[in-house]
Amino acid sequence: MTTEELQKTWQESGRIGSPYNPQMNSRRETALEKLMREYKRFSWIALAMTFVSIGLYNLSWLEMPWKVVIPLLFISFFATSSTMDHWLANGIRSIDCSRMSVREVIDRSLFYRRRHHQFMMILIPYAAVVLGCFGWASRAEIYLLAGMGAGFLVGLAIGIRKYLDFMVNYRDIESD
Amino acid sequence: MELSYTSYPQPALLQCFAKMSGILHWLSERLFGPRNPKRIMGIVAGCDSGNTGKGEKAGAEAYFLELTGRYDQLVNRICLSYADCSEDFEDLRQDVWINVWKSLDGFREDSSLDTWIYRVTLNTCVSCLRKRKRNVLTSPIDGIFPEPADDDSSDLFRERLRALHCLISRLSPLDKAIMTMHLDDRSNAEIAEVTGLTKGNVATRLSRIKTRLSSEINR
Repeated sequence: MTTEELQKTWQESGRIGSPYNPQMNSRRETALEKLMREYKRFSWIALAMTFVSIGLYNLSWLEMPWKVVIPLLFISFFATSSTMDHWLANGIRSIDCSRMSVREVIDRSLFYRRRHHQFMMILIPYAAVVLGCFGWASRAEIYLLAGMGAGFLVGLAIGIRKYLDFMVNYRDIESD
Repeated sequence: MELSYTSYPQPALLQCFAKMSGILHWLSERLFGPRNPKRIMGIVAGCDSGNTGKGEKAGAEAYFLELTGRYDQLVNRICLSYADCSEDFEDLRQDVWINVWKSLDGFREDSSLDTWIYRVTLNTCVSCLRKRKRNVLTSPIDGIFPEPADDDSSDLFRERLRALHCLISRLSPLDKAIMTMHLDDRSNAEIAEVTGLTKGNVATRLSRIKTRLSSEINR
């Protein structure tokens, strides 16, 4: 195919597909808006869990100092997670497709995507430490430990799969 | 039998929710302001009108419909170059027009409408940096032209389209933006304005892209 044919094919490619049917009153969100909504939702959930974690003080099998340390660890974990998601939501909201240049949108999208994964790299070991302490403090509760173990294995499998996917796609995105 | 919402019983709880959502909508308009159709009509008429009424809103919608008719092909071309499959193509197209509608009243006339549409379309496509679907067996062209046509010219066009998509899809998101605008005969100055690069940088990148595409075409 010559470059002239390439250009001609390009000009004609706009006619493919069905005509666009605009729905101005539709509540459909763009991908960025969905992403922002997801971050906000997780931020609110984590904030709620911060307050719920206070109730861990009342667990009957926990003894001092775990009675204070465990709730503090959970509260700090969820507060950190909520703050991170809130920051990411604000960051995604700042991307303005109608005013920014393409370069800026790419840079910002990549920036927040990288931060997302960096935050994951912080929160995952943090969660492991928190759950490890909770498991140690609750070592007499066999069924609780079995449940935590099962949840850990499932979470680990999903996490590794997502991380491997990220590593492949990160190279694609960085090819600029 | 066609069912309508009003044919179902409306329990008190549903009515209560409907009222709450109406109250919330009223409150959000007071706090954050309604969409500003008069600004859109200002773009159309070249002047700002005093009141926001149903007439202006209808005018804004009519203007938007005119834009979709005028720029549909342009948006299609760009979305096709960024899509991996036909579902992505439709999603991107929808997202572009949603962004155009939502940001139409913020359009400043310091750039042309053409340039602005390019900006919104390209930014929407690059901001949806989707996970590359490794298991996709069909290209977006196959999804949009599902049935093979009987005539040879349509088959030839389909093959060329597939080859074009294959060439362009290998470029990075920024290079795709430059190439798509160049194929639409846009000047380097306009490409630089939309992409945020300098004119010299655009020229250099364009030369590199053309060399790469030529070598792939000739392979």
